[in-house]
Amino acid sequence: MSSNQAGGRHVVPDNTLTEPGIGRQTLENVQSSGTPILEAIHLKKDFPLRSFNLFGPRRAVHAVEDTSLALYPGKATALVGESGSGKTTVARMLARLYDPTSGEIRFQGRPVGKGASSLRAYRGEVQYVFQDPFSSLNPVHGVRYHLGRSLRLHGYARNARKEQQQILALLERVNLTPAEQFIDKFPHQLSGGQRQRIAIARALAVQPSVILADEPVSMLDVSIRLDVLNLLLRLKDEDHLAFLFITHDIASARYFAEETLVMYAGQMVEGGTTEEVIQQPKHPYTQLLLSAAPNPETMGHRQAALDAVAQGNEGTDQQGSKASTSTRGEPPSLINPPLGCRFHPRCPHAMPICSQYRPARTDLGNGHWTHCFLYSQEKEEPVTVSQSNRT
Amino acid sequence: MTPNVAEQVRSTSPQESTALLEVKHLNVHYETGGTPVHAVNDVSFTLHRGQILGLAGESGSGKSTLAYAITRLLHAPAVVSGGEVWYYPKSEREFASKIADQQDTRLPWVRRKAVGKSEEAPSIDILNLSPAQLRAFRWQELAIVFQSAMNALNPVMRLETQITDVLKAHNTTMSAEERHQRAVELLRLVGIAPDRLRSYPHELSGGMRQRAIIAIALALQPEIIIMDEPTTALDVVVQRDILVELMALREHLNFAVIFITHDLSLLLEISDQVAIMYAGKMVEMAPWREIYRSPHHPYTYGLLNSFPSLHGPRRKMSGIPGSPPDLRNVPSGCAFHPRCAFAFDACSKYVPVLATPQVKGVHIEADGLEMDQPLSSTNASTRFQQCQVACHLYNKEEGLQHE
Repeated sequence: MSSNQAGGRHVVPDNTLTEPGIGRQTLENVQSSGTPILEAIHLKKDFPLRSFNLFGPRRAVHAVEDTSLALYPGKATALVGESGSGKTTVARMLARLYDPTSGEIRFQGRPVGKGASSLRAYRGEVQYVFQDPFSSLNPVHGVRYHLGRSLRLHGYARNARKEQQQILALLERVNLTPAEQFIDKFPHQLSGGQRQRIAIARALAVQPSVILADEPVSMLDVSIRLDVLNLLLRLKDEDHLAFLFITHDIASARYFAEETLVMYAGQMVEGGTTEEVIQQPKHPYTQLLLSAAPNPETMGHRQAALDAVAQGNEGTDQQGSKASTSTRGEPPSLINPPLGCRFHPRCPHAMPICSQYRPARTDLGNGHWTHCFLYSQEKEEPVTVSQSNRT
Repeated sequence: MTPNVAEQVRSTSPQESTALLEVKHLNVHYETGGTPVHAVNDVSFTLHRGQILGLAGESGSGKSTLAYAITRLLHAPAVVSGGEVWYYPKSEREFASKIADQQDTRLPWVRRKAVGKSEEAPSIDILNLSPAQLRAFRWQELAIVFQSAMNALNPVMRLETQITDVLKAHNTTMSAEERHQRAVELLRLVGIAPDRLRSYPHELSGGMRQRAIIAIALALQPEIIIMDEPTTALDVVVQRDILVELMALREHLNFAVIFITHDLSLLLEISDQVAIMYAGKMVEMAPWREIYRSPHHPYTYGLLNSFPSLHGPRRKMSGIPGSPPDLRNVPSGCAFHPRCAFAFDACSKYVPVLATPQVKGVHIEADGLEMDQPLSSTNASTRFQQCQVACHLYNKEEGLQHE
């Protein structure tokens, strides 16, 4: 695979993400090296909660906090995290399905406009592939309708003959051959993998430059996941697409993406080139995520599990709920997230400072960065205003 | 008793590690309007005491149907059309007599030989238990953990009610206070704070709900727990916690587990014996080491290669071409042959049987069939004897010609 990607990559003038000395902010990236096509700058999203007391406090789910990322043509960025960590919210803000509470989205360096026409232009460039192909296709319409509609709406097909041609070409691009057989099928006649290919073809119909893929293979059968991933990889190389690849499976992030970002409870905790993040995880949460991933290759895992068992047994004798405290625990409620670093209640290395201040971004070289006081030089980062107000 | 299993089963006495559950030539089909759909096709296996048997396969491969057939949870249109399921309780005193007491005389068509009375191993024919016997058997001896904890718990009942319900139904002599004590104990066991007893399911997180389900399954200390994708809906970190918990509990209570999942890498980590199902048939069954190191069946090899790895070189992986078969229209011969890179004439004509491979020391590698090291050592050949595969490649008459 590496050779294949290298082949596709030489079209980009440089290898931005592996270059040392990337600036602190994504904005500086723009100036220093290759231009990102789509950028999110300090995005924040709160979902207000219904309040039954008119004079009570306004409560909200703080789904995404201070998230910045940049997508580059021909490259995939993986967004990894547990469910509820806000990764889908980020993607939906980028797709402009949600309006960010604050922060900015820039497309080709310019802030995106607000009007309906600019939204349509934006949708012509940025497309979304949904997680569940069983609900993202309309069951009462056939393949022709699903693909033809985007072609017509975006002005690529002006008549039926052209539309037919382009639909057939699209079906062939996503390996649904013979295309003539598929064009008049309905979603219920297709398997999960075939449906997801239709969804991908629909995204490709408008000739986008960015694809936001929200767990594109997690609903598919194990044996066909790789097929679909390989298809996306091929499209990425052929069309020079920028990909945001959302996944909870860090191993498939490694397979698919050049860059990986790890999210926890609405905040980015670590990012960098995929190999750096996976082989040398710095943030305790990334380390936890990696150690939890099933991986028969390290036979030691079995032993580790048994060791944990031994510890657990000791623990259960004293107090059941306290057993194996290091990994126990779940992501916090995002209505009242913990102050400071949101991971600190579960963190084995938590220090007093972790519960007071949100760690600033620490660059570790090679484009690898993390938000953790363990690696921070200046420990006295000012607390962000929004967090101190919340108590 | 195979040495590998003995090594995995950390029970002390050797006679304890014997067969617990035996499934023989089980067939299940779903009655449809036209031809019946064969969801489970001639499946046989043995589960030993304290063993974790992993059952892997894609959706539609029949793994859940198999589990439900064993627990007799199937209802129309599913029909068990053949085969036997035998359960061997630890001692006759404990269970067989209990079941014998409950023989339902109102149902004269129930076979009376349901409770075997042979001297050394009492055996129970699960498929022929009467409803009353079944009630005594279920939960006491065999519990099941369903995939989605969200639906398995009753949303309008407190956790305590749901746990004590099981105790009330199956252990009539227990007092309310004892039941409460047991519920607290059970929650402690799975790592939930006892003050959660008063909670409703919606107040618990997904991981906690799944733990609660496991607690309920453990309530009567069953010998077998069937887990049908217990962690599929959970995040990796929570999944890891629950698996570690499960391993600890097994160490503690020494029950056997049938663990069903589509995630082969997970299975390889936790199970002693791994069985792979494809289109309703068992295509390979071997100790986890053998499956991992030298998969025999091309489908197993494909599955193993469908999971990108976290370490080692990044390489292009291929997965398995094609899509899983439609069970209404299963390919002739070996159901996997249209997707198989090694398929030859015999594959589409004859159905392969699950057996110890006759062509020895061969397994699949990236570029074709590979010879293992010569099987001179007894260790290697015993290892080899534990593998069973349903593939013509390892059939002497057909396979060798092909090679």
